[in-house]
Amino acid sequence: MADENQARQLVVFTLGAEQYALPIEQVHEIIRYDEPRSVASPIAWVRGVISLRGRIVPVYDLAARLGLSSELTDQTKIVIVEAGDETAGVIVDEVDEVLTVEDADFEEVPGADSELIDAIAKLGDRLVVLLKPSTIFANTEELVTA
Amino acid sequence: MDTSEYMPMFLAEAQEHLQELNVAIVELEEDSSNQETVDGIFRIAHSLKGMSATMGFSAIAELTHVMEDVFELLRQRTGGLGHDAITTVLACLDALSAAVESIEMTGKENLDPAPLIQQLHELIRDRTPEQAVERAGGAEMPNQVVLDAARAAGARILHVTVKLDEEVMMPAVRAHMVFAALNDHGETIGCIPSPEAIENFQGHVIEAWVATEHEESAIASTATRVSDVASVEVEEMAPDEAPPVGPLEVAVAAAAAAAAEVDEPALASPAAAPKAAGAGAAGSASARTVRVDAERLDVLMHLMGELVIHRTAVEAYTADISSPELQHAVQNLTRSSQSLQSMVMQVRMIPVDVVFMRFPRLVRDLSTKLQKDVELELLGRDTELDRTVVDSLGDPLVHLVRNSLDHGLEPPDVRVAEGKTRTGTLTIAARHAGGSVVIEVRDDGRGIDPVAVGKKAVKSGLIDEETAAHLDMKGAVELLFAPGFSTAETTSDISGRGVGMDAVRAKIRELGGEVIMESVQGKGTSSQIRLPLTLAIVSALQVDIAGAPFALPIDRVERTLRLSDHTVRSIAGRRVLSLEDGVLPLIEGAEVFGRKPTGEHDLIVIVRGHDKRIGLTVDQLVGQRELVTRPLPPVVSDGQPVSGGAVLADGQIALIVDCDALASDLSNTPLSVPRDGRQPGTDASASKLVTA
Repeated sequence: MADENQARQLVVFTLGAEQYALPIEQVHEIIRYDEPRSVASPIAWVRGVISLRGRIVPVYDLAARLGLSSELTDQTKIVIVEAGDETAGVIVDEVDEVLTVEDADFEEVPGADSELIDAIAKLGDRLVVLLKPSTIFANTEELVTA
Repeated sequence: MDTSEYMPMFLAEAQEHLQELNVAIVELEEDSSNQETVDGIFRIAHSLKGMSATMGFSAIAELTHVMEDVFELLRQRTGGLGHDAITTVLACLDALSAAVESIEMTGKENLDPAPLIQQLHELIRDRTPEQAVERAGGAEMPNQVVLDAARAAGARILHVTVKLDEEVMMPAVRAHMVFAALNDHGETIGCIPSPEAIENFQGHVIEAWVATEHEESAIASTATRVSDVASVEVEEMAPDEAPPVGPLEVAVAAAAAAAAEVDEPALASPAAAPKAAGAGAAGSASARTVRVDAERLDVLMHLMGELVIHRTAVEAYTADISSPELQHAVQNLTRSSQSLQSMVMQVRMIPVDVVFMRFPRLVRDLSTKLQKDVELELLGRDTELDRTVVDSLGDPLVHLVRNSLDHGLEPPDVRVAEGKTRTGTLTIAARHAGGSVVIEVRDDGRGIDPVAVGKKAVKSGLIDEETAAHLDMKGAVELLFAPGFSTAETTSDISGRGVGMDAVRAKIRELGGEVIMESVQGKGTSSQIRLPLTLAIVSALQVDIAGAPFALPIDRVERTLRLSDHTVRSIAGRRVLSLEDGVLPLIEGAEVFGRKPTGEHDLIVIVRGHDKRIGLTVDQLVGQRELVTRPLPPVVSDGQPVSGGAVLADGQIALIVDCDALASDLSNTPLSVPRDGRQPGTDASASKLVTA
């Protein structure tokens, strides 16, 4: 994805006991968690919609989607992600930091769910999973029937 | 010059001009004596020429230039253009449209104007010598209005005649210098050559009418100082003297105003000075409208929506603070933002005529092709609609018009034989009806024949013989809307292929509207498209269903009632509401929107789907609200009977209920009676209602 020998800036956040990240260019903003307006969706991880300065934006439960468990705390945030024309919020347990990671530190994903996961950054003894923003908006019809 | 920046504007304007020309030419064919139409045509053609020349599209410029000659001729003689001439001009317009389209797609004109220019030349070959002189010179005469205005301002009108030396090398440059010199001493309100013609000026006599406070001698000496000027004559026009008439006995007074208006800055750059003087009227005309990118309007609307939300939040937070100054400030904020909101809404509204404009030409072409005699009536052309709606309205309307011409209206002989007028009437009418706009396409043709429709439907496998035998008009109309249905015995190239009324209906429903077709056999057919006035703001009844806000579009709400006041029965396992005026399916709001029911809900809202009414149980009626609609993310709206969302004053999100979907969800249950060709397989036995 990225050019050779380049550094990427990642927004790192916690989900359950693991650390995940999204490229900073695609993180529009991070907002305090407010209960989304629930909608009846056939998709389990669609938590509802919120209004973001007048726009209606869906909120996804990323932990549920990745098969993790998480609970709401004071630290819970909604990360607003943009990809293409779309905007969505994902619920995360805590936003940790913005990290600059050299390309060399990224590793291929060994057989993991490559639908959602772009790469893994190994930083000392930490593993940060870089998510693919585009698949956060994956064609939901496909996902429903899958 | 890099003109790419102006390309979108050029394309939009060119298309608009071409459409206007189409309308005007067809109008002219009907009423050749209308000077206004002729002037309009001339003006549009001239702008088109100027625009395309500026953008470097020489083929278009060349062709429009010759077309202008034809229109010029038209302006000078009465009697209009013959049918052949009209056809040639229309062919030119088609070529221009194609060229503009090609520019849009490829950036190139792809136009060879030569054959059309040849044809046009044949039309104007017999031009009189005077007209030829006129062409070469091109005059811009002062008109009475300008004269009066200048006199009212205390200026005297001087008629200046400048003769150039016989040996002059560059008469155009000298003429330009003369006008520039005159402009230093007053305002040029008329001149020969005209600002457009000055570049090609080859004569030796220059005339100008100048509104000035200076003496004749001052004017004369300033003009004399220009090189190559042989003599200058200046005389004052008497106050009661009528405006001068040009070299030809034509109604130049009106034309001068038109000519001033069409001055294209890019074209007339060397003639800037006289142009500026003569264009007093043009300045105010062009300042009246501003072209704005539609996208910007959408952003404006969006921002407006945000402002309204923030405003209501401020109102809520400050309501309890007892500070008169603050309350006053908030009131002012409210007032201004409300005015702003209504203004933004108005800005988005455009007259439906933008869509209607294409029909005179379309009807002319089709009726000629089909050898039918048709009179087109356009009513309510200034009815305003949200521009997004207008943009999407074109294709469905074209389809309805084609249907009427192709299938509805009979050939003249048939009409006469049936005791009708030889000329059929096709009416396209727009009108406001409450919060909606109704656009009707009506013809006085043969109407829909249920028998013919039935036969066709059997052939297409939509219904069986049995059903066809009992088909009434209502059923026939429903069949017309069934996918893949086409009544034409042989598919003509007029009513399109494969695209039927179902596509029209789908498109209109997409816009939140509905199509209704009514027909009386032998008398005619009427199709009505009903659309919301705007997609951006919906007037809705806000309700609570299982603790969450929902909005029901007010034009779909019939009434509200208390469950306890009415009888609920169960039919085939489903609850129905028995009212005096009918038995309605009763839908649990909480259930249909997948929510956990919360306690008592004694209230019912009766809403209208596109073909039936239903009762919807709700917890609470909140009130009527004007809601700024927002699209919902597909993951949310898919599979739910909701059409959009709206952010409420308190920041909550209300889902806007799609009443059609709500009602048609029921069609898939055994309670429904098959009523259209879409679900031939629905269990018919369910139509026997079992009352518990």
